[in-house]
Amino acid sequence: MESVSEAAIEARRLTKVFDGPGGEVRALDNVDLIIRKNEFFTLLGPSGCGKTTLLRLVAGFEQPSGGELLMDGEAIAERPPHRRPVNTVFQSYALFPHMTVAENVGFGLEMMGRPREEIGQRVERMLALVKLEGMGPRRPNQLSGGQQQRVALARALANQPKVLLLDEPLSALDFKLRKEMQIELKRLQSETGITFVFVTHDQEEALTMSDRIAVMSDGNVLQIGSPTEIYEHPTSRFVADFIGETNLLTGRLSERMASSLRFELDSGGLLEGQEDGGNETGARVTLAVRPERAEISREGSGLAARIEQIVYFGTDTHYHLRLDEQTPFVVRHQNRSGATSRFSQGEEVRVTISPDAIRVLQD
Amino acid sequence: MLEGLGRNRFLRRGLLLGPALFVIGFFMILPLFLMAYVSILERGLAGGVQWGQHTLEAYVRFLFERDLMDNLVVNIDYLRIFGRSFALAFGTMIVALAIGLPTAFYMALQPARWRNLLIFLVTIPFWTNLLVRNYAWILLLRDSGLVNSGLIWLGLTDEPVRLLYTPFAVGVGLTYSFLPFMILPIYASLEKLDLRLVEAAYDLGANKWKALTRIVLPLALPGIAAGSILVFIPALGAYVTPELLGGSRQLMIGNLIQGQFGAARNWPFGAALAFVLLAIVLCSMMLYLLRFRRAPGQG
Ligand SMILES: Nc1ncnc2c1ncn2[C@@H]1O[C@H](COP(=O)(O)OP(=O)(O)O)[C@@H](O)[C@H]1O
Ligand SMILES: [Mg+2]
Repeated sequence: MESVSEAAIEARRLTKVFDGPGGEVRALDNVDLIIRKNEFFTLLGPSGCGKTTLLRLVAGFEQPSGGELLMDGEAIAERPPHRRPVNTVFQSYALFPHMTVAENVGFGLEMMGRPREEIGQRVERMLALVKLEGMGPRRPNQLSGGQQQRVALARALANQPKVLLLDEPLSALDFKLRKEMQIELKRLQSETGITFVFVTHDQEEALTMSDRIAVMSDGNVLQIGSPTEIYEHPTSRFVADFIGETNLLTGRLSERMASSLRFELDSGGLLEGQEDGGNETGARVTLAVRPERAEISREGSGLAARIEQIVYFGTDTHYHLRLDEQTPFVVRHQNRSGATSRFSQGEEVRVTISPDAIRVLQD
Repeated sequence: MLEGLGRNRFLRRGLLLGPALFVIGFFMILPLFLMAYVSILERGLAGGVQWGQHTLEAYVRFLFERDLMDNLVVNIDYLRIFGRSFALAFGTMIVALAIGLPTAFYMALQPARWRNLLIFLVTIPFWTNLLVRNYAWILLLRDSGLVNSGLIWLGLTDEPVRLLYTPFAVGVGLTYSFLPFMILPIYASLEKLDLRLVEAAYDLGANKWKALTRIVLPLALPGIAAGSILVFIPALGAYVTPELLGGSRQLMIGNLIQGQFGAARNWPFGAALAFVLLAIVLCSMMLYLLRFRRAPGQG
């Protein structure tokens, strides 16, 4: 457990229940979470899993139904939004249409009662930070989507909040702009040292940008960890499936040996692994294997499989296999040599998986 | 071929514009010119006008009267009636705004299914005739009316307070009549307002008051301006309400003009009064629009 002092935000058994027209909706269900100071923290999960609700609780737009919310170790549930050291970049940007860009960016400072000259200087600096020099006199509707995005960012950063909340800020941008802004956001975060809480449903975005990720599903936080931990060591079927591509195999932990374990798959084959995921010998298990961690060969001791389809991607090739005529399995092979595929469709092959590539999921 | 298309398009445009041009021309431009013409004619002795005899006497009369020696003497009686009308209309607008703005706010903040019902309730007074509604106010405001009975019953006063036939009565009647014209446009502009902008303002440190004055009101300004105009202009030209609730001493422009076409039988003067009113309204509207077109977003 982290010490309290380095937690920017802490949620303890945080719960939010909405009264929807079709009965109660549990948007957050006993969420425990620590967001550290100065980190780029991402909430990742499919639409409707409660990401926005969590942000709105932190910003103060909603009141928790249960549990505690601490900021710098202090309970903040009672504090109104305008008295929290938190600013938000809204998904819709929510720029004030009747104000100029400069007035938008300076709004927070004006609310804090700062003198005019200081506001003017800070606005200039903020616009420079997001590369919008000279756009101050314009109206938001005279800007492109990407520029509006930057204004929203500058406006939220101008107050120098302790925590910046970003609710899917890039989802309305096209692919190229989104890539640019990802790098930009990362740069801003390290330059300002402000804690970023970033919401996305895009796993790739989460992996490339974050210091740590919380994967959410259905109002629950399933796993929190660095991108590598989340990708390499998913603890649940949902996380393994949601983040990157994964092959799921079901079977039984059949035997413990001196330095390894043996799994007997439902499809018939045997696999050697290293971790038991806390299971007893004989327990049913679900195993996850990343497509790039498996190899195929013509002969050898691996699992028997037949190639159903070969998809060429330029940098790599995907082999869609079937193990023993039933379980689907994908192998990704990086195209190093430039040679055309070594295998052909319909061929019978062997799949080998190194023991350290096998993850035992907890559900 | 091209020629046919061109003529065709011309024809179609003509057909489409025709009805609108007809309505505007026949019901607006033509009467306006008629009125303008009547206002510069010599009055007929038994009402009507003497066609072909032109004079500006009607406009002179607005500010001057002739003494026995036929000298012009300044007479501000009519100006005073204009002044009173403007004061009453302006007061009506302010009170309607003071009541209408919170009402519209309240309506806009209700759950969607309640809102239509509330709009319906606001428009219910329109279902009865204006005359009937004003008579109802006579029943309420007269010495033996509900308001005075109530005051006496509460022991606040021993004898009835004079309410009817005062500027107060006219103001109440006008405000009541035109209030929906204030509420509905403001409601329309508030309902369109993106609540996320208010959240953004809170997020940036604005308290409720700041969010209201810096975000909500500026964005509702078009509705407020429209409502104010829709109340001010008809209140300025009101006829029925001052006639019934104002008595003979609370004349407004509308009553004055009616009197010239009726009892006074001075059509040119009536027409001239109507024209002066029109000119003043147009000028003040233009000033108002100029001011409010620039206001939002400043400061
Ligand atoms: N104001 C609300 N009233 C009722 N239900 C809500 C409200 N806000 C969110 N929800 C519900 O809570 C759940 C989580 O929503 P949300 O936090 O917006 O998800 P996400 O941002 O991850 O897509 C959804 O089922 C949503 O329908
Ligand atoms: Mg959301």
